[in-house]
Order: sequence, then C-alpha cells, then structure tokens
Amino acid sequence: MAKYGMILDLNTCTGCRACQAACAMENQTPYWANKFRTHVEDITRGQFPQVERALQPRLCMQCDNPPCVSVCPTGASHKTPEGIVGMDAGRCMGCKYCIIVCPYEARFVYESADMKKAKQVYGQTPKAAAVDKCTFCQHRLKKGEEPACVSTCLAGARIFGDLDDPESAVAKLVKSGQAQTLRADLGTQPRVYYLGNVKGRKG
Amino acid sequence: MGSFNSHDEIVSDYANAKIILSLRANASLTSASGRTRRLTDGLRKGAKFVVMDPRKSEAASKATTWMPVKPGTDQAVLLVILKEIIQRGTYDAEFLKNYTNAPFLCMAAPQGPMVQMAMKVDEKTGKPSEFYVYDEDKKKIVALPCPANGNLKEASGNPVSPLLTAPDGLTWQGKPVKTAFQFLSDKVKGFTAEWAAKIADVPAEQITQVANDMATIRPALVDSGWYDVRYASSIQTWRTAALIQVLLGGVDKEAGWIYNASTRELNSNFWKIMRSGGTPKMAPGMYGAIGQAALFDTPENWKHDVPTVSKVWSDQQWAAGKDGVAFDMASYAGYPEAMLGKVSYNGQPYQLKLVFLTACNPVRTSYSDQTWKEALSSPTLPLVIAYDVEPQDSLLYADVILPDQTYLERGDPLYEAEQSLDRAIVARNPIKPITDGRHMLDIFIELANRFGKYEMYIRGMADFFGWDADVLKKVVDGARASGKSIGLPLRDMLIAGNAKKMNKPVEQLQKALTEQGVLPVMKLEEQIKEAGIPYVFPAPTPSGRIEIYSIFFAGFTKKYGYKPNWDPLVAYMTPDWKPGLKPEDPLAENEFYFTHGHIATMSHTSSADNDLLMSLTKEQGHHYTGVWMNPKKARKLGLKTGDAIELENANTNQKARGAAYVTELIRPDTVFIASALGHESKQLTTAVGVGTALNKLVPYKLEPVAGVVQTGQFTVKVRKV
Repeated sequence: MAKYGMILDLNTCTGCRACQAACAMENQTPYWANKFRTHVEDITRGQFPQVERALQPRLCMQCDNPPCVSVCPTGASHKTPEGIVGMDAGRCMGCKYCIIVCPYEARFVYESADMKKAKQVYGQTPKAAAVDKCTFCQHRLKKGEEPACVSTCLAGARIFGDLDDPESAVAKLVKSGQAQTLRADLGTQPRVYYLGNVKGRKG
Repeated sequence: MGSFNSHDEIVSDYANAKIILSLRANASLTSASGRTRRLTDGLRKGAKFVVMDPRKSEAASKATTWMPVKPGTDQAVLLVILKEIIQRGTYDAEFLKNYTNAPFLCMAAPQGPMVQMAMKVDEKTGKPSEFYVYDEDKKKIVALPCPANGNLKEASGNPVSPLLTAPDGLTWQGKPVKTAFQFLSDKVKGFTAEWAAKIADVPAEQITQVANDMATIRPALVDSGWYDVRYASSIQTWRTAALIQVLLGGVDKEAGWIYNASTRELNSNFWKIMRSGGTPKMAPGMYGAIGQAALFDTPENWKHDVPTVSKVWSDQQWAAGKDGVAFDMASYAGYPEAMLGKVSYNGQPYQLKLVFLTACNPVRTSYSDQTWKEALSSPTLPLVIAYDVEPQDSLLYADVILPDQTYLERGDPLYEAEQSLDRAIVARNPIKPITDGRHMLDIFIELANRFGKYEMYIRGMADFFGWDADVLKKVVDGARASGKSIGLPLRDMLIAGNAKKMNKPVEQLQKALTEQGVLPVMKLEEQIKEAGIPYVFPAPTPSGRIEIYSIFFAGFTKKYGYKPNWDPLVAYMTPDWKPGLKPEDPLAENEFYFTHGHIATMSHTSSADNDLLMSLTKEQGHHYTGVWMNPKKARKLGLKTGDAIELENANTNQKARGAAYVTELIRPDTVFIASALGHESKQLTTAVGVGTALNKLVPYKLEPVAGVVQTGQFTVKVRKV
C-alpha cells in the first residue's frame, strides 16, 4: 500500500490560491464561509526594506501520530489503511475537540447554515454536518489521479507521491534532509513536508 | 523586435535563464497564463531573480534580490545596466552585427538630441530601400537592402562584414557618421549607479551588483512585462528594457524573448507573400500596427470619407499646442469629446451618435470614470447599446442591453495557445446554453442582415481572417436556416481548414479538440528552425532587422517634431508625477506616490463578480482590498488597518475612498491598491463596494505615443474620513 505524502516548496509557491479554489470546487466545501481544506498563509515579517513575505500552503498533515484521532470520542476521526486521516461524517458528534488539538488548524466544521448554502451552490450537501478536512482527495487517488491542489498548482510547488517508493520525488527529497515538517517537536509525525528557502539563495 | 505588444506576442523563456530581471510584473507569477510554471522552473534550477517593485509583491517575495524602487523610476536603473553591458563588452556582438540595425550608419540631426539614420528612401513608397554599414573587409561603406532579415549580404549577394564601431572620421554624403550602436553607447555612457540611486532611492551598491550580474551571468533575461502602472516615461522605460534584451542577443532563442507561435506563423506567411510580390492581408506585430496607423492617417483608407475619432481629436489637440496621440491603437483617445459634441472636422461637428459597448467596461476600466459617465449620459449622444454577461458599471449608462453568452456556453472559434512556446490550437467545448445570451457573431450578422449588408459583412469577415468567403457564406447560411448559433458551425469550418493545412483527417482533429481541448501543432525547435525571427524570416519591423534604432519612431519625429517620448534610440525621461516635483524632492506628510497592481485572486475587473474569487479575496481582508501604506507615514497620519480613508489625486483633485492597510511590505512614500476592484453597480452580487476604484483617481491624460492612460503619473494626498 502506498504511503502518500506531499512536499510544499516554499521557494516557488506564489500565493496564487489556485489550490484553494480547486480544492473548494473538487470537494465542495463552504468557501463562502472562509472554510477551506487547504489555504495559503501570507505572512509578513520584519521592517521595510528588510521585510520578508512568506507564502505558506497549509492543509492536513495526515499525521502518523495524529492528535485529532487520539481525542476523537466517537472514532469518526481515524487513520485509513493508506495512512490518510479520514473523517466518518456520520459518526462525528461535532464536539470540536479535534479542531482544538490540531496544531495545524487543518479542520473546520460544517454548520447547518453551510449545509443550506451548499445545497444551493453545489446542488448537494455532505453526508452530515460534521467536522471536515483534507483527505488528499482520496476519491481521486482511487482513480490514479493526484489531489486537485497538486494537479492545479501553477508553480509546481506541490509535489505528491509515495513516501515508500525510493524513486519518487517526495521520497528523495525527504531522504536528502532538505524537506522539513512543521512543528516536528510536537511528535505528530506529519506526512506533509516543506522545502524551506534554499541556503544562500536570498541575497 | 517588431512586436506590437509583448503581452500577446512575446514569451519570456524564464525556465532557461540563469538570471531574470523583472520590473512592474507581478502577474508573471500570479496570473494563470503559463508564465508561472516557466518562471518557477527557472527558479527551481537556481536562477537569480531580481525584482524591481516598490512593494513586496508575490513575485518580489520570491526574488533573490528585491529592489524596492521609487515608483516610475525603473528606467534610471535599467540605463545603468545597459551602460554596464556596453562598457564591459559583454553584449552579443555577432547578433548585433548580423541581425540588428546596430551597425547602421547614423548622423546627428542638425539640431537637438535626435539621431538620424542614413538611408535611401524609395520615392514611390516612401519606405527605406537602403541602409549603410562600414565593411570590415572591404574597408568602405557598403549599402544593404531593405527590408531584409539580416546584414550578411549586399543586394548583389556579396557577403558583408559590418562593424559595430565605425572608424573615426568616417563620412557619408559629406556628413560625419557613426553607427547606431556608437550613438547608443554615447547616450548611456554617463549614467552611474550613484545617479540612479538618487532617483530610484535604492542603494547604489545594489544597482552596481545587479548591473554586474546582468553584464556577466549568462544567459540573462529581462522579463518582457505584462500589464503595468503607466507613466509618460513608460514607452522609453520598456525601450530600455528591450535594448538590454537585444544587446544580450536573447531574441527568438532559448532563454530569450521568443515570439509566440501565432506571431511567428503570421510573420512567415507575411514575408512569403511579400517575397512573391503579393499583398498580405494579415500582418504580424508592428506591421499590423503600421497598417492601423495608415488607416489613422491616410485619407485613401477612410472607408467613410472621414477619419477616426482619435485622429480628429488628435489633430485638434496638436493644433491647439497640446498632446494628441501619434499612433492610436484602441486608445479611446477623444471618445468622450466626440460624445459630448466637442470635436469637429472640416468645420462640421464630429458627433458620435451611437456607442456600442461590446463586452467592455470603460466606466470602470478606462481613464477617469467621471469623464465616461458624463460622456455616456450626454444629451448629444442619442443611443448607447451594451452587450455583456453581467450588470457591470458601464451598463448603467446603456439604453439597450443585449445579453452575451458566458464563455462556458459559447461556441468559440479556435484559438492559438498564446503563451505556449510549442504551437498548439485550443478549443473550448461549450456546455448546453443555460442563459438566454446570444453569440456576438449571431448578433452582428443579424444586424448586418437588417441593414441590407449581409453579403458584404460575410465577405468582409472572410477577407479579414483570410477565409474562403464562399465556404463561410455556406456555413453562415446553414446555421441561420436551421436556427442555430454560428459558433460551433464556424468552429467546424476552422477545424476542417486546419485539417487540410496539416494534411490530417478532419475526424482526428475533431476528436483531439473535443476530448483534450488542445491540439499540439509544432514544437518550438521546429518552428525556430523553419521560421526563426530574424534568422529565417525578417522581423516585422520597417527594416526587417531587430531595431535598436526604431525607424517607426523616427517617423514620428518627422511628422510631429522631436519628443523624447519617441526618441528612436533611447531617451531618459525624468519621472514627473506633478509639475515641479523632482525624484529627490521629499513629499508632504500626507502625500504618496501611487501604484496599483495584481492581487492573486483578481486578474481582471470582469472576474470580480465571482462568488468563489470574491470569497478568496475577502478571506484576506484589507491585505487584498485595502490601500497599502507603510506604518512610518501611517502612524503620523493616525491611521491603522481598516480606517476609512480618502485618496485625492494631487494634480486633478479626483477622489476615491478606501480602507487603510498598514504594512511593512511597501515603501514609506508609496501607496498601492488592487487594480480590479471598486465596482459600483448594485446589480452585481459580490463585487460591489469592495476595494478602491482605480479610475476614480486616474485622469483623462494620455501619453502622446500610443495614447496610454497614465495610471501612475500623479501623487495622492491621503486623509482619514
């Protein structure tokens, strides 16, 4: 079974947000309520002219030690055999404990107002008003397609593949040590890595 | 280069450059045009990326060197780079000698800064027929034919070895001459990093470093630009950028400025017909534009015995000692006056009686919205028709509104993939119409029919596009008889035509275009081999060479007198945002330079009323929709993010409202707004009331070369409201 992982290249993410748009359409999420399965942080640091602007795509890290699964009282939040952190909307009781403990702000909850509008916009609603999150577009993986955000990324800043396949781009980058996870200190063991500013590039 | 506009005709090959210099071009990264991937491919390979921008745009955030230049001062920095390349001798001498008019002999004009190119002019056509170079081997001046794609042969076929630097004391027809290259070198030799630093307000060391890098790292590439903030100096600024690119030899080759496939195809067809003595119907690049200029200027071309609005208005302006437009190409110059009854021709009123806005929004996207609102409302203008998909701001002034189809429903003809290096044909596969919109062609054909000009219109369309008129007529007749839209039948006609040209079965093309939406036609390598410009076919310039000396611009001097705006080599134009304000002068506490540009989620005003894009925009709040201002001056004005403010054009007192966004990402002396916001029509669903309307601040002031709207040529005063 493939161990899916993703690498986000901070050197080339241009903050275009095509990934946010593609994901919303693919997964029919309530974009009108600012609820996204993936988003791009736009962070300013420092003072002009030494000011830095960081564009950082974010999504569920599909952790191997996921706090959201540990705390879920119903088992709605669970690890699938492919290692994706899945959500069984039918089991979710909306306690939002998972939202509180996720260090990556990867989850949101479908309110009933969102369900109403989703019916209007998409013609259908999710199974239930529950907590929602990125699934690495599991439905597309089954068809041999990449997640929508990866497929649409204009800059080629999202790299996706099998971390267990030594020939894959993701495996090679992880092995090289160039790819880092966010908040590795928390022990969540993310499957999403970042390529930071290549040493010596800025100058 | 002979291109008319780089946006549609030139592709910068970022992917293969080792250093990329970008100015005024955030869209290279944030617009979904194919450029993004090529640019990031170059970055992934380790290219240096130098971005000149007063604010830290998305593109600037990816730069290895960010030069936060004062708005409008880019040319000063570019001139230092140009000088450095010339003085170090790291230009592509072979390319310049063989394929450009750099070695052509020129002389100083009797008066003023103008440089005149030595040439023989054909009496009948008024066009140049000969130029002159100094031949290194023959040790004398030899004549070169015009037009030609290069300088390697005399008209007789004898080989030529042109020199870039003529020997001292050389004369031609009794006048001292030097090469265009020598004149260019002389013009730029005095520009220093220290001088540019004072104007652009970036460190001289940074300018020196960038100039060194552009002069030494190869291949080097200047971003050919997209849509930018415009100044009186914009034309000369981009000339300077193009000169750098040409001196690098980066023309129609890897890591350079590559003509797109449709331009190259059009160009080779044009020259094939010209060489066989024929008259081409469609012209590439500047030849198309020159054709347009001919319509502008020559009475023989006025189909209704009267010139265009812009021509009449321009002549009125020049006569009154004011700036007209030397070369009008969709500039909207003079339109408001012609609606308001303020234009006359030969003593008669030149009054526009009908305005048909076809899928455009000048009230929001052109100069001064107030000017358009007054003009379109004028009692002297009886009828305004508009044709659009949404109730945008200009439609509020229409008497009759015709519904356009959305692009999703519309049977479009085939398109060339413009920003693709390989040649490809693109087709959109429409959904079944869900609105009551009508295809534009259906409307125009029906109008022509009701005017009793059906045949004439069909033949005119065929003539313009180079189609078989009889075939087209059959297709149109057929569509109308069956009550269908012309859209898809026309597309089928074009597919059949392409299949014939490509010698492939129609079914194959139909299948590819229907299933994939794109049909690759020819790889870049093959295109360049067969039709590289100017290596195989001449460039679409008056001389056929790449012109460091613009003969087209020299023509303007002949016609209108010298203006630095159209100096045929290059002229430094001091930025002058308002009378008396020099670049080194401080601004008042509440006064700022003004810039506008691209936010990631809005490419055009026409995409503003889109629920998804607006949600993505509003998610970022004032960061996307506000007026960017550095805390240094914001603090003094008592402003924090979210505060309602008013901006006032310091020259014209035009005003606009917005919300402050206080950020370190911009120069303290500059403000920035997103270009595509500020919609007013309450009939729109999500766009109304978001952001600041750019053209509430932009004056009806056109620069004199091409009638460009000067969207940055002023300062603004800001106050809390």
